[in-house]
Amino acid sequence: MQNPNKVSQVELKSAQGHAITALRYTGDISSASKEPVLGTYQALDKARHTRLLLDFAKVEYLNSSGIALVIQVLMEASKSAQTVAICGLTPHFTKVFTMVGITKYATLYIDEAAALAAL
Amino acid sequence: MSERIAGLLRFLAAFLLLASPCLPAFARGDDVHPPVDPHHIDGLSLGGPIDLSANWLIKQGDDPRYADPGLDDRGWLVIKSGQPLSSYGFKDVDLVWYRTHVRIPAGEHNLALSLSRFDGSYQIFVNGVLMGASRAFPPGGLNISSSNRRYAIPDALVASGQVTIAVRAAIGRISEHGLDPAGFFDQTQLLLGTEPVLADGSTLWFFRDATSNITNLAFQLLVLMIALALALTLRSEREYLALVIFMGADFANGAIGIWTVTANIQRGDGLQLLSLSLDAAYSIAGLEFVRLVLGLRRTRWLAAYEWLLAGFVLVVVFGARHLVYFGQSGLSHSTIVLLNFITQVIFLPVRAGLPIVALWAWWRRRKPVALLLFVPLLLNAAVSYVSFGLYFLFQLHLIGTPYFGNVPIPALDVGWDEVSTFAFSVALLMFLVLRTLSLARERARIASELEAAQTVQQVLLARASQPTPGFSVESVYYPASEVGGDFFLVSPGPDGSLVAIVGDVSGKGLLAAMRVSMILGVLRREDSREPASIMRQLNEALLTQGEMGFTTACCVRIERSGNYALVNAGHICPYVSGVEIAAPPALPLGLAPDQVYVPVAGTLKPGEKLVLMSDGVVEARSAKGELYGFDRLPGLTRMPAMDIADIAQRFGQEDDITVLTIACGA
Repeated sequence: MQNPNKVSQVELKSAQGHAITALRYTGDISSASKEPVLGTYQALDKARHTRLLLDFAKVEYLNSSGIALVIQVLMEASKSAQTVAICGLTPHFTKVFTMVGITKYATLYIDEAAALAAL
Repeated sequence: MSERIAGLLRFLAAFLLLASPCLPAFARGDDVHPPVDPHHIDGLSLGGPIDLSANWLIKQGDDPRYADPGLDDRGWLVIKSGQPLSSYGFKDVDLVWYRTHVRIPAGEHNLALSLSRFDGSYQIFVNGVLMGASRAFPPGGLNISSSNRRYAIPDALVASGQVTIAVRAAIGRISEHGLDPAGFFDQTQLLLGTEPVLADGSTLWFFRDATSNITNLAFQLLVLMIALALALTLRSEREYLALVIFMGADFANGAIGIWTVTANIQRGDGLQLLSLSLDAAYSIAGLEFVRLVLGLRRTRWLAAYEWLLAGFVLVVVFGARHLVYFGQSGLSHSTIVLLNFITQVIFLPVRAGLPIVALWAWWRRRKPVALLLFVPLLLNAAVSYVSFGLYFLFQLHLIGTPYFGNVPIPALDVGWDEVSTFAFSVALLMFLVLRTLSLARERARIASELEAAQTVQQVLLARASQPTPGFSVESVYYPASEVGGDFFLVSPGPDGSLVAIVGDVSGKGLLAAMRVSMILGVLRREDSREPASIMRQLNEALLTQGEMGFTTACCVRIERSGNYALVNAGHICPYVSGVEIAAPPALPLGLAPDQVYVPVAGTLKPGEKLVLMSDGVVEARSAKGELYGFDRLPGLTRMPAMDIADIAQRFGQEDDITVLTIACGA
């Protein structure tokens, strides 16, 4: 049974003092996640939220439609000159994200601490 | 705007006035009980029970002397029991006394009084002696509506033949304004007669009163069971769940009503609160049922209204009624009127608005289901419409009473509301049957379309496996549902080379299958045999589709010598002898224009095979939720294509599984 996807938005500071907007996802990310994934991103003020961190640490499953949504977010962020980092992926999905070319648009980090240290 | 509203009200008043002759006799203010003169009722020829219900001497206030048979009550007002007390100028009625005088033959014995459907608490006196009372009387509680009770009169008390009956009554203040009945109203009956005859009458009363209610309840149970079966079978259609709650709450409230009447049980606070909670559940579930059937969004306004209903029913209505009935509130007349008005306004959308919503949905969106739903909703609201209309006409002094009486059936006591409920249940049942048939037809149509798509896809994929001279090719394709989103194509060229492509369209079902068909069409028309060029063309073709989602694919061209060149667009990399052939990461197809696909070259040695697969292999998931994953691929990809696919499928197929192996040499 699918676990509905939810997202929470948290404002963080990176080690270098930059404001980071973290979007923490939970549950399964699939075609039903358009609103939490794409909708939440599109609701952000692109001029204000220039550095984003997509946190998948509590995501249980991602299917190809869910990955399509993440790619769509990354492409829009790229057009808006936003910097995006991704963290919390399992080794399996780290490989899948690399395979589908997401690393062209976002840097992958093991966890949130690693991402905040680097951003 | 105000002129429009005034015009509408004038039209409504005229319509109701013209329609009033068609109303039941009760509603027109005709006599339900034979009129009597409460100063002197002649019962000398006591052949059967005397109906004392129609007219009463009345006085507001409380004084124990009002029970005294010798009291001079000639100055008391005479009222008709079908008339709201407000029409006689009464205000803030908490306690009221009714009196009537009957002359019976002297020495009459074995007499009794039979009282049914008195609205409020009462104490009944004969010649100054208390005969009995309702189970509760303020400040110890208040009866809302009493069932049939019988009180035996001692022979000595009426030996003279002169009988003065006095009723001390506590009624709710809200009742005096006509929307709810109070004290003696048109359906209250007080009979004086011999005990055995009245006992038979009581049995008959229960039969007359309960038959229609029990019939309705049985029919509601039938609809409830059907709705429950549909809710359990069609779990994705949440309107059936709403209908179960809607009908369940109505059924439970009806059952409580019959139980309290037949067992002559006083509704205490707990039971009253339960009944009101069921009312709230009924109203909210009814709204949700209509919304879901009509496919309307649950807007913030609707959600707020539903919360208002729940909160209002449980806090305001219960709280206010509790205070008012117990006479402890000290609420002013105007506050009670206002509370009553607010109650009516808040419930108006549920009671009377739903048919209008259905009609609006049909008119605006031309949904046949809206028209189908309109019929039961209209039948359910019909009593509300007429009740409001009667109240409106009564307030304009155009009719004598705002109360809604019974259907003129001699054998049974059937209210118009019960007729409406029965008609609603029948219409709802018809609606369920027709809607379920329609859904079944729709599902059969979709299944048939899926079957057709499956046939088309099978034909297309069968054509994808052409004879491959000089190569040994194995392909296995296990779709996860009727139609799949994976595809592959093997195309031998005139130069002896072989081009193979394996891909996966995101998503499932008919949409994915249509996209696969489109992709296979594009690939067949493709002249180039260069993987990078093929991928660019396919990417451009998919971009024109403009829909969300993507396609991953890996394309390889192999010479008979074993030399190969492959490009990968977001797909799982191929394996040779258990080793992954790493290709530069690239976005899947159909997402971004002007993508550059960098080919990777290599050589397939004799005895080696190139394994292409879809993500259905690595994303097979066990019952415990474990992914098959990439780590097992080095071992797995050394096996034949059929074994690879079978192992992944047995592990726990979640997605389409496609495996294609290519080796040089036939």
